[in-house]
Parts: sequence; C-alpha cells; structure tokens
Amino acid sequence: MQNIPALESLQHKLSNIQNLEFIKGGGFKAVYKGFVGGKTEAIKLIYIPSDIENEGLRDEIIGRTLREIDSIKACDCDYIVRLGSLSPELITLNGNEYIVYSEEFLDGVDLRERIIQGHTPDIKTLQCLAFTLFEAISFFKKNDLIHRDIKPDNVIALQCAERPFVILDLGIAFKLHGTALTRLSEFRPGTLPYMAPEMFNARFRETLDYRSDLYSAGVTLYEYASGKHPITRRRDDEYTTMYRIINSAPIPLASHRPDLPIEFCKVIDQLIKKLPALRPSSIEMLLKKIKEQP
Amino acid sequence: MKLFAQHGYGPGDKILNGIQEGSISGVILSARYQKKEKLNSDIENIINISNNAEILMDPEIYACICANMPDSQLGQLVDWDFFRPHRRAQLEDTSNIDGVLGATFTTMAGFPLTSIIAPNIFIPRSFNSIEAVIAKNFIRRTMPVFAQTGDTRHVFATLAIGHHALLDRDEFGAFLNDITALDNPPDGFYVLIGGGMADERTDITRSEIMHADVIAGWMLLNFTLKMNGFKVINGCSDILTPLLGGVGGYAGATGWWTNLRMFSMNKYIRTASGGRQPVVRYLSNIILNRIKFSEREAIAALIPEINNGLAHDSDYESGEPERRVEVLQTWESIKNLNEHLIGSNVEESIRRLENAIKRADATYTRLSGFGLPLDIETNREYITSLREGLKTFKQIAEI
Repeated sequence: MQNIPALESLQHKLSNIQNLEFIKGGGFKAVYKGFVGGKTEAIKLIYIPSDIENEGLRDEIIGRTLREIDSIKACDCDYIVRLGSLSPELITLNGNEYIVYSEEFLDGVDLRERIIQGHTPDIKTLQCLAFTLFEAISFFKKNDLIHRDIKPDNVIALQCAERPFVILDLGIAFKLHGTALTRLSEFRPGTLPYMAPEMFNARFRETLDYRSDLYSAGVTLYEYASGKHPITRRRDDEYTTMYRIINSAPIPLASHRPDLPIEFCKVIDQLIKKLPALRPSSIEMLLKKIKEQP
Repeated sequence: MKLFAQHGYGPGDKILNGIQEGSISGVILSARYQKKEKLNSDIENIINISNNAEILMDPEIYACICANMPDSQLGQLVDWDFFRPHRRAQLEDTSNIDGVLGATFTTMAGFPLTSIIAPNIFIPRSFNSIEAVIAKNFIRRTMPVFAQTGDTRHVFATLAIGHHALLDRDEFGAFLNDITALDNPPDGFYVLIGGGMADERTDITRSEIMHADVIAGWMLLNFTLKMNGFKVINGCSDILTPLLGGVGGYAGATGWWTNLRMFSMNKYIRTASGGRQPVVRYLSNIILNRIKFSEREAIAALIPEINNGLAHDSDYESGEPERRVEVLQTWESIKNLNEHLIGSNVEESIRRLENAIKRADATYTRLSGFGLPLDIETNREYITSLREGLKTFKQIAEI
C-alpha cells in the first residue's frame, strides 16, 4: 500500500480500536485486525491520494470505496463478507488522507494458500464452494452488480459447517446502470488470469453481465479442484495470457481429477467457455445441478 | 428429437397419415394456409388419432412487412384478427410490439393448440440492425405479455433469421449473449433460418442455407439455447433435422413443398415462376439427400443400400408414386435418421453424424464410379457443406 502509516500512529489515531495488527496491504489498501465494539473485526484503511499527484484518482478511489461499502450492504448474506461496526470515516495522518471502515473478521485461510499447500479438495468441499460462489453471484445479480474479481485469493475457507466459504473484496465491483468510476477507458479492472474473455472486447462495459463472474467462479473452482489454472501458464507474459484467455481451450477438468463425478466436471468446464452464451445462464439450474451430484 | 409436419398449401390427409403412421409427432400449422373457421375441427381430427400430438400455429407476423407490397400473397393471414400490415418504424415502438403480441395471444387462447408460437419479425441480413433490435424486443416482451393472458401453455418466441445474419460471428455471438440472459424468458424458441426476398430461385436459396457456416450457426443456436434451458423447435429444418437434434434441438419440421422444406420470405411475394410440379423424390438416408424416383431405381440396381429399407420404399417400386406419398416417405426417413444419429449426449451425436457424413461421401464416390449423373439438388458439394458445418460447429461451440 502507498503511504502506509506506522502502526503506532494509526493505533493512536483510532483509539476506539484495540490490539490493532497489520494483516496485509496492496495498492491503495491495507487490512488490519482489531478489537472494536466487543469483537474482532477487519479494519480497512484506504489511502486517498491528493489531486495534485494524480488528477481524478482521488475521486475514483473514494467512489470505489463507497461503492464497495454500498455493495456489501446490499448483498447481506452468509456467502459474502459483511460490514463491521465502523462506518466509513475520513481521517488524516501525517498529512495524508485515508478512509477507514471495518468488515467482519473471517478467521480462515484463502483458497490461494490452500492451492499452494497442495490441498486436494473432495467433491463435498467443491460442491460447497460451487454453491457459495453461485449463491453469491446470484446476490450480485439481484443487485445489478458484477464482482469482477472472483479468484482464489478472494475466497476464504472457514472452519464452519454452516458457512464454509465466504467471498471478499468488492473493491472493483461493476454497477450495471451505474456511473463509470474508472478514469481510463483502456484500463480493465480485475486480475488478468481470472478475467472473462469478453473483458477484452473494446465494448465490454456495454455488454458485461453476471456470466463474467460465472467464468471467474469456474476458473476458481477448476484451479482449486486441480491445483492448476485452466488457461494460464507460469512465466507467460501478459499478452500471452490474454491470448490464451481469448483463444485457448482448457483441458477438461476430468483429465486432472478423474475421481470427481463427470457431470460436476462438465459443469465447471462449461462455465469457462469463451462465449458467454455458452455458459449456463440460469444460476437456479446451476445450483440444482450441483446439488444433484452424488 | 421430435419431427413435426410443416403445414402449407394443400395438406389433404398427409398430416393425419403421418401422425397415424407415427413418423411425425405433431404439426406446425401455417396461419397463411389455415382457415380460422376450420382450426378447431382440424385440431380435433389430429387429437382423435393421437392425443399426444403437439399442435402449434406459426402466426407468420414476419410477413407483415410484405403486406403493403402490391404483389404480396398472404393467403388466409389477412383473415386472422392479429394480422395487420406493420411498417418497421411502427415496431420500433415497444408499445406496438406489446399490441401485436397481445392480439396474437388473445386469438390463440381460443384454440386448443398445445403450445403457443409468439409473433416476431424477420432479421434479414445482420444482428446489428434495426430489425434485430425489434426482434429482441419481441423476444423480451413475449413472456411478460403472455403471462398477462393467464394461459398456462408453453410459449415459444419466434426467431426468423436470414442466413446472412449467421455469417457475422461477432454480432451473432452478441445476439446469443443477449437472448440467453433475459430476466423473464419464453419457454423456448421457434427457429426459422432462411432466405430473404431477393433469393427468388429455390435452388439458390437452398445452396445458401446449405452453407457450412449457416449450418454451423443454426446448430450453435440449438446447442446454446438448449444449454440455457430452452426448448428449440426448428421450422423447415428438413434433412438438417438430425444435425440440430444432435446438439440439443427439441423438434424439427418439414413438409411436402419445397417452401416447407426451407424457409424463404420470398414465398410471401408473388413471382413469375410457375409451370409443372417438381418430380417426386426419394429421401435416401445413406446419402443424406433426395434423388428423383427414377434415379432411385437406377442406383438401387448397383447400390442397393440407396434404399432405406423402410415401409414407404414399397411405394416407389412400381414407378412414380403418388405425390401425397412423397412427404410420408420423407418423414419416415428423417425419423429413422433421428433415431440412429442422435445419441444420448452431444459428443456421441457428433460422432454418429460424422460417420453418417463419411458414409454418404463414400456412397457418392461409388456412385461416381458407376458414372451415374445426378441432378443439381443431389450434388456432392452438399456433403462437403455438412462435413464442414459440423467441423465449424465444434469449433464455435468450443467442443
């Protein structure tokens, strides 16, 4: 994160939060763990650059933060991270401006970590993950939102049977019929290996729909199930990755995981088709298919 | 996959016989040829033979665009309450679209059809056109307007598309993306792929529809719509029926005249053509094509497999059969192809279809070895189109 404040000065500034502890940071954002309102919460700190440094960037970051908060508020369900007790507040530290607010603290590991550890999930775990992702996308859809950054890093696995997985980070969520927040038209928000092929279409903002999230969910499920990304390869540069996303057909999931039910593998394979129309559009039908697996 | 009769001029007892024989499981009636006052009794006659028969009626609203032309030939269409001439500009207003849909559903509500086909216009050349926008609005509004009638039958939105439109894959893909993600979609689609008004000669229209990219696009429509939970009924699909069924189509249809075997807007315009009726033909499954009854006799002496070995073969044994028999032989033949070429999943169907095309190609090679000349409709390039169409479909459907 740019201009990350010293923990002591932040703790001093946020006197209503106890035991502040840095977790991770990147871009304009840092996440801390802290005790507030009688429980542990994830404290999010967003650096707001001044207009002098980069015209318009300030507005974009404030806009995105407020949209993320609104989106989380609108999608109140077990499948998506919830807001904490701290409402957004603009603070100044050492002459820099930040927005601070809190989300619930999720005590678990993200799927990226599990993939790195070589964890091989069984069908029950994969069904739970698929169920969570599809339900979450259904909530986004009802609220005219596209998450645009579903990936293993943004899915937390919890040790909780009622709530095994939770989706995080609606920081670049796209609001259908909303005002564009991205300043540069050529910029494509998201994480390249998880971006749906239609995101590379020059008119993508006109045509984007929830099936882009279904694609990212398919890639996440495939990667978690097999330990291998379906499209990209290590050491590929950005352009090669982009080419592969648009043109390369993935190896069917069943080739990596012959132990999984073939129908389950087919559903995942179908989600990562290039043409959105070739991905199943009915989330209800997808949920039914996942439940039907033995 | 089900096979329906494509109703048209002079049905006689053909449909009843087809249903009686079990080669067809329903009919798509033509509002242009169906007299309103006879609809109830015609439906009753079909139900008396098979109460499982599916009976639909194409309102043929797409012909409304021809209604203002001095040489239009609309038959009974003008007698139906829902049919009125519409100019394209009128239909750009969605309230008029609701009016057309509502009037059609109100009329159809009074008849014991098993499912309802909703009206739409024809998309002649491109999915990036005013017509395509109007057609999408018809599709979008189909279910909301139908729901207001309280009718519980299934409703099929019409997709009448000129073959040219399928050639622009980007626009076609964008159109598919739109119609597969509707908030309140119809139960299925009634798909017609055909020629526009400029394609006057039937052999030209046929060669344009039997183009690899058109076949692949038509298959993609069936595959994509089925995958998204829709039932697809293909009008005028004739010999392409097993290819469409193999990738998810619910039903295909064909009839007794050339204009019931392939769709063309030209049929709503009076043309100078006329003359004698075409020679009766035989649909041979091994070559996936029709040959003249006289050719069948000559070829069968050298290649007996040219005969299907089905019941209606006997009608061709003693020279030219009665014309009313021709379509019964067609239905019997296509039903047989459907049973043999459509597998339990798409991959299996494609394997069977590829084998059938290879077999057809090999038979053509044998035929040419005997030096037997075949007429223009029996040409071999058609097999190349089927093979290439299947190959292109696999590529665009990402199979």
